[in-house]
Amino acid sequence: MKDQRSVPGKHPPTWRDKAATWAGPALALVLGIGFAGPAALAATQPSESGGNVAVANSPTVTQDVNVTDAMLSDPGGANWANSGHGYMNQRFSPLNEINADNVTRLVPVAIAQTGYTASFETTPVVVNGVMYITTPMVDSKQAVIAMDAATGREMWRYVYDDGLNHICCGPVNRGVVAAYGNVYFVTIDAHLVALDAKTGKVAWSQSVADPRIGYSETMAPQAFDGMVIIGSSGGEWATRGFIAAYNASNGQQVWRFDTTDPKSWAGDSWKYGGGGVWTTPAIDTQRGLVIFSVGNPNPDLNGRVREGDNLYTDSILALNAKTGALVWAYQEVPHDVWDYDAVSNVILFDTTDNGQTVPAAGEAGKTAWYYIVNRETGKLIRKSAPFDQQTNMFAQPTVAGVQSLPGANGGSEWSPPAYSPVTHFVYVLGMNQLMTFKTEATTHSIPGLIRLGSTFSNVPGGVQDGTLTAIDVNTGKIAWNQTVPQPMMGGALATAGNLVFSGEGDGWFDAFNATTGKLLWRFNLGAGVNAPPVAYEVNGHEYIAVASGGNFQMSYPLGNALAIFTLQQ
Amino acid sequence: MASKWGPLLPRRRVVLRMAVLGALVLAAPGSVAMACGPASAGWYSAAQAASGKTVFDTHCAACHLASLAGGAGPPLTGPQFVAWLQFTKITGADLFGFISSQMPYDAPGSLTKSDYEDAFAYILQVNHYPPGSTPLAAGSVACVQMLPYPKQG
Repeated sequence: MKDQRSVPGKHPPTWRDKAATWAGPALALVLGIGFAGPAALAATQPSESGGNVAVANSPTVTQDVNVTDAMLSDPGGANWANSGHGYMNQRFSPLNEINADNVTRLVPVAIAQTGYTASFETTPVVVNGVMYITTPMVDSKQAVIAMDAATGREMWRYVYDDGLNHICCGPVNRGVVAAYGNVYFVTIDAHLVALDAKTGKVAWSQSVADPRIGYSETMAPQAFDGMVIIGSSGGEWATRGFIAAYNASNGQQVWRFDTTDPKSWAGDSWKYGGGGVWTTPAIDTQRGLVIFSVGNPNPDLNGRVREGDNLYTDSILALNAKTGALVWAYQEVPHDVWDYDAVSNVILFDTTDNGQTVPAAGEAGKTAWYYIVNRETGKLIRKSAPFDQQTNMFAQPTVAGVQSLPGANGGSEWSPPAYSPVTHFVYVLGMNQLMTFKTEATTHSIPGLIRLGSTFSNVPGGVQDGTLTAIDVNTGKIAWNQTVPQPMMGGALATAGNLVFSGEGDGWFDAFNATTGKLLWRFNLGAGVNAPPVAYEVNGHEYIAVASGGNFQMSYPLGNALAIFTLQQ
Repeated sequence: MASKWGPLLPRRRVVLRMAVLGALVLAAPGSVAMACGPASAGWYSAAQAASGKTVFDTHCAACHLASLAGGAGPPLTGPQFVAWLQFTKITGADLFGFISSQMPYDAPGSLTKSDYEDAFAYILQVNHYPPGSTPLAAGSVACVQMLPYPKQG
């Protein structure tokens, strides 16, 4: 169980150091902009309290923050209520006040520090001018913060104390969903928590899996039809992945789908076969489908203990949203032994197939192909041209090791891509990392200990770079490709202003022309910009926000800033 | 109960199995199993742990913190670590096997054998497992028992 004690005056360990060495605040002050950081908070906040409490700050939330399914389905330009901006996960904003012609006039209006310095992957959620973000876990605590979306000024903060937990891939959290008057988020120790969106007070908290054996929770939940839908992280442990729906008003489980099908696994290996659901599902409201990607089989690199195709790992799945029953599945990589899993968010869009317009679902694979399947049948329509290097791909790992591209991070990792219905391009973050894949003769499991089945590691001196690629979903061809010095991990935003925003590990936050890929504007936030940007509107003006806190997995410089930009007036 | 982690060579597996068997069959109150000494006699030397601190600070502290309290990587001391030891009932040999094959996170298996032994000795020391006169070595890793967890302070 969780520690309920309050820890007065206890701070996350490193933010002071980081703030002192970080260029962002200094620049912000020079520009004469509002700056809400820990120093400013100290005046209004009695302590950095722990103990599962909400700390209210002024101003309080007076806006209407009750979000309905209609708003979740189509948040318009003003809001960004669920992780993917609408049930289709397109991360496309119809706003165009900020556009390819004027983006050079973009300036920061606030750089708000959270005090939690670690891998920062949150997608900010915005409802009627109130922004909700989650922090990573630091010192066994993670926070949800409500702030004024135009000024960065904090309104309330809820601090959660994690009990015994296992961190897979950084102590991360990818954000909240705002729905039905609450905000919902998940914890590293495998709880789903509902907070009152106005006050930050706990509405309910539900244990969803046993964190002791390796389950953890990192995704931004989805909300639909009175339910909150989440999947499990922890596929690097000997666990069985799942996706489940909970009653949004009381946390009771409505349905649950386990992602390993015993029929395609040797012996009882399906019981420990991985298959995490790492990223926020899309919803096809017309067909009543929950559509999402399923992660790798476990142990990652030793397939001998789990002969078979290992369904439904490395797959795109559609479930009946009412019952959780399987409707269709498409497996990208049968019997994966490279950790080439399907992990980034599934996006819904229309595409052409033999001259017909058909409803489709797409997923950016670690294999460096963008997979597009028919949304009614799950049948593959096309794989894109490779968006990253493929060399010696699918060579079986050996005890001595084989070198291949993509590496185990992809291709595309968890980074959510964006899709623009204007260009019909999907914008995918990728990387080239030459890795050595090894396996081992025998792998068995100790419950509670990570189980990779040997190792994958970067080849010293091997290629290491990142890519942002625009792929035409109607042809699968590469429309443009930008290569950057470091592997890309974070997310993309597309807007009707013919812009694509994304961040880099060395602190650059970039805006590209969505049609041509030309770099138009950039701002260095100091820490790695390894989180998805969002766009929204307050008082008739468009804002862009992004988290900048670096990334553990890629060793990018850490920080704790949430940056908000708008046009210089 | 075959061995899990790559670096445990077949010969060492036999040693480990014998040690476990010995502990189960022969250990009685007041007696000592085979070649392994009791925890109080120490499984590592203080000098080795001192070297291990340098290894740890260089290769491990970025994730686990210099205090071992845990950051991006899990804590290696404190209540959560103890709870984890009690839940997994992991043996010293398994824990060492894991560390030496899977760590550091970004370059698994890249340190020397003696660096891994020294770092493991340091982890034991921080957790108040008592030091002894003989450094931890390949032949003695199988003697290390993580539980019972030593009294702190």
